[in-house]
This record gives sequence, structure tokens and C-alpha cells, in this order.
Amino acid sequence: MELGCLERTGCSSPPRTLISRLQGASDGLAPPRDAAQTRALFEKVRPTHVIHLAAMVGGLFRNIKYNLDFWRKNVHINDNVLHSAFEVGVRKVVSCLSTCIFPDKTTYPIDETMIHEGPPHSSNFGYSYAKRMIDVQNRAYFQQHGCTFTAVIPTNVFGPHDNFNIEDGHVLPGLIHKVHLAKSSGSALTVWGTGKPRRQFIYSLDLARLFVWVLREYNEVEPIILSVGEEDEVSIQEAAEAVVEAMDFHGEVTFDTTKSDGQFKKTASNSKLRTYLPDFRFTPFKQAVKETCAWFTHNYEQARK
Amino acid sequence: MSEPGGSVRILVTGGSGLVGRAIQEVVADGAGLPGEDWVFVSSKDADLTDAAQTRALFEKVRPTHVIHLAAMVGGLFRNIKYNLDFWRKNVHINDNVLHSAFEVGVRKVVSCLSTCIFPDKTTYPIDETMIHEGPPHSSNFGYSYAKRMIDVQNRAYFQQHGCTFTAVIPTNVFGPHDNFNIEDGHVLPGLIHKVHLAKSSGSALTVWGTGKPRRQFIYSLDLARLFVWVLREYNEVEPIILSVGEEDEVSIQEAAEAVVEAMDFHGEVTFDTTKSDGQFKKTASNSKLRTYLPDFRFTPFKQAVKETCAWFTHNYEQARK
Repeated sequence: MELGCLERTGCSSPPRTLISRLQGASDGLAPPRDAAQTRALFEKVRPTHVIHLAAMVGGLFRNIKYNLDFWRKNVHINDNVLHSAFEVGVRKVVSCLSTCIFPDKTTYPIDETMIHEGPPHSSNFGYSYAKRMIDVQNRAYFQQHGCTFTAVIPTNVFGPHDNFNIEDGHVLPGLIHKVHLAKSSGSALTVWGTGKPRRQFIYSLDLARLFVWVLREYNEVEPIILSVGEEDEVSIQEAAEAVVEAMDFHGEVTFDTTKSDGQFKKTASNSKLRTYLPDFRFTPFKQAVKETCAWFTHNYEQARK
Repeated sequence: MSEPGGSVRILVTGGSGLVGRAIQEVVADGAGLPGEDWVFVSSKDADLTDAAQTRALFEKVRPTHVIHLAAMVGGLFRNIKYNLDFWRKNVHINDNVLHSAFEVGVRKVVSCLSTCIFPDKTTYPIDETMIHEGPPHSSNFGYSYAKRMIDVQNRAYFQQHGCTFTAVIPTNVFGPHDNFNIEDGHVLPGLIHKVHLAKSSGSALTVWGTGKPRRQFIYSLDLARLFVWVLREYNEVEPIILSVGEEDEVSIQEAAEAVVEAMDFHGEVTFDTTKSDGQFKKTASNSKLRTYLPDFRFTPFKQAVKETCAWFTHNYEQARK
């Protein structure tokens, strides 16, 4: 990667140049599980700020089987990134948590103060504790060194470039892929579960705009939930209907109630976000679904599935 | 070292500390079994925060079993100041030891937690199921979370690979070879050192705090015997509290009186109530231990205090203080 370009970049230059250069050099990029390679990357890039999204992630069944790996590898990644950031003097790190890490037994709505108030669901405890420990380590960097290392907590994210694999991916991309297949084969859409569980969905592009705001303006060490409001929570059935409408599907829609529903709800409060940004406008759900379906249809061949 | 063959080789990390020395003593006194090879290591043998050094140690020793006592530990004020270091270094030590153990095929690892890691807001008595039911006290959250994550990692090794990696949870340990530093050490060794100084200088004993907080104390030699039992017989992955019963909880004032009596101190005893009391109580249940070992006899508190005071007096020069 050409460091000359990097030095000229600065805040006012279009970031696409830097992004494309990193993509071009992706074969040489360090897997952050390795401490020495991570440190070398930070020495080479010399960032002033970090948005830390890298993680080992997976669907429900993969998590259940590999709790040790999800714990260890994510702890290594997170420790390598946070500590390299600290050592090269990064001014701010924004990491990414998830609403799935909250206590299994809880009251609703969930808010930022509740992360550690009890154990997470047992199915993915390795992943959940690794994510929770980002918050612990952030607070420790602040207490011992005064660093501003913080985190965001999105609800269900969806959008272009998602993992549309029906077995391993999340519910909305899974539904989009299923409708695509159902249309192609003239068969019914079978939604797993009863369709009754409720979720707050956040469009990846809205999340990205909020990430940039957090990077620039949010200076608390305590994390912040990034989500549409409780009033915008929808059922899985409503989500399926939005996909059906967006993709102009006219076939039958059935519910396979033998399949697990997962958690019934994970309702999170976005009050803290609204205190900071009362006027932030989320892309309307149906429009975001429509854009995502269009992306999937146009990029079917190369989409992750 | 060669493979131990059909026998057993036990690696004890943190072998030179309070608990490590106690295990050495009980093993030397006859608690060891024929065919058992006990290897005690300390920071001189390997820096356990370094993955490569830890792995090399395990390759060299080739243990079949591990008692993992090594940790970065410290008193209240040191913890408050260095929460990041207490978190990171202990996570590194624990991950290096547990994963090296896994990689060389260790059959069982027994790690050491602490009652200070339990939720700050809790009901009493504390028991083994409550470890993760809320955040720990904020003063030493780095140390506390690092210890809690031993239990998380143990469960993950069991779930993914079927390993028997477990942990014990002692209450307040005391005995020979402790850290008797008055600023940095724990309450009982601190009192012993203070009485020693008060006797030498003919001054009063000043106990920090009101003397009212309550603690369960476990003698290091009793803990050592229980550690050996856990290593051989306790096969659950969920941890086990090792402590005297709730009925043997004593106040700090009663502990001070035991030290005064053991060291034949006749000076004045005062309480400096401007100093922090710390947690009022951390009462832990030893029901699980009693289910397994209903007849285990703890050394009576006053006798254990007397032995520890005698050790300190005889070893004053080289004692850690």
C-alpha cells in the first residue's frame, strides 16, 4: 500500500481513494488474530482513529458448536486491535457490539446500562462474552490511561453485501434469498418459525452514517445503542411481507412452526441516541428492504450465499 | 523430560506463592501418591504472559494435570490504579496456560478464582451459581472479569472439546509464605505484621476500619489438601467454593484478637475508623463442598493463626513484606 497517498489524504480528501487502495492490497492485509501482524498493520497505516468491525461471526448453529473458538479468536482480535491502537497513539476507537450479547433474563426495553447484569444466552456464550469484554477493556483503557475507546450496539443490521446464506445468515437476508428462489422455481415461501417474534431492523447505510457521527462526535466510553425506536419494531411476518412486496412475489407464504423462533424479542431503547440526534431520519423500512432486494437481484452471482 | 508413561505429572503454576507453597508442603508431608510427579514452577521458569514461553514450558514438562495458581495479584489500591493491566495480563496468562494445556493433551486443569469476583449487588450466602449474575465491584473490575473468564473458557473447552478444565473459589486464604506487606497485602497477614511491629516498638495495635466486617478465613494448608482432592476427585466443570462454613465467619475484630492472643501481645488495641472497611461481608456457602466431603476437618482458626504467627516470627527476615 502506498503510504505517500495516505499522507496526502487528510480529512478533506475523498475516502474512496484510501478504501480502494486497501481493497487492492487485501491479500497482504493482516488477520488481526495475530498480535505481531496487527501491530505491523497499525505501524504501517498509523491511524489516528479506528472503527473496529472485524470479528469471527456465525449463525446460531455454528456458534453452538464452536463456543471456544468464538471466545478465543474474538478476544485475540479485540485485544490485538485495541492494544495496537493504544500503542500507536490512536485518539479514538469505535468497536461494534450486538444486542444478542445482553442478559438472557431481562426486562424490556434493553438499554446501554444493562449489558453485564446477568449471563447471556447459553447458545453463543463464547461470542457474547468476547463482545462484552470489549466494553470492559474500553473502560479499563479509560481508567488507566484516559483513552476514548468506545463501542456501538446495533440491533438487526441488513443491506447490500450481507451474508444471504439461508442456513448461516440472519433473518432478513435469508428471507430475501428464499423469495428469490421461490420466484425462480414457482414454489411457496416458507418462513421458519411462527412469524411472531419481533425485531428492530437497521439499514446498514443508516448504521454507517451513525458510525461516522459516533466517530466524530460521541465521546462517552459507555456504549450507545444504534437502532430505530421501539415503535418501529416489526414481527418476522411483517418483515416477510415487506420482502414479498418489494420483490413482487405472488406465491403462497407459509410458516414452518417446527423450526425454532429464537428469542421472542430483544427490544432495545434508542433514547440515548435520540438525546444526541433527535432529528436523525432512518430510511423507511420498506424502502430499505426494496433497495436491498434490488441489490441482491442485480448482484445474485457474486453475493455471499 | 520424558513422558510420564502410565503415571501422573502435575504442573503447578504460581508454585512459589502462598497457595503453591502450601501444596508443596502437604505433598512433601505425604499427601502425594506413588507414581505422582509434582512440578512447581514460578515466573523464573517462564513468563506466562508470553504464549511461546508458556507453550515451551508445557512441551518441556509434559504434564498430565495442571493446578493453575499463577496470576497478577495486588491489594485494593494497586487494583484501582491498574485495572487495564490486571485485566490484560491475567487474560493472557490464563489463555496461555489453558490453551497450552489443551494442546499438549492435559487431562485436567484446576484454576483458582476468588470470592472477590462475585457480583457487587448480591444476596447471601454466595454460591457457585452466582458468579456471572451481575457486575463485580468497580474497584478491581479488571482482575475480577479476568478471573470470571476462566470459568467461561473452562465451559467452552468442555462444550467444544469435552475437556475437564475446572476451578476452585477460596475465601480469604492465609498462612506461611503470604505477602505480609501492610499496604499491599490482605487483612490477616497485615495484622500479624502490625502486631509484630507493635510488640517490637512497644506501641499500640491500630486496626484499620471499625473491626465489624466479617470474613471466612481458610488456612493455606487446608486449602492445599482440598486442592489435591479436587485434582483427583472433583470432575465437574462448574467451580467449587472451598471455605469454612458460614458459621465460622468471624469479624475483623475477632481476627485481630486471635492474632493478639497468638503473639502474646499486651499492648492497646485501637480501631482507626477513618480507614475504609471494604466490603461488609462476602459470606459464601460451602454446601457443595460438604456434599462431597461431609467429614473434612478444617484446622481450628486459632491454631492456624498461631502457626502462621510462629512462621512469621521465625522467618521475619525473608518473609515477603
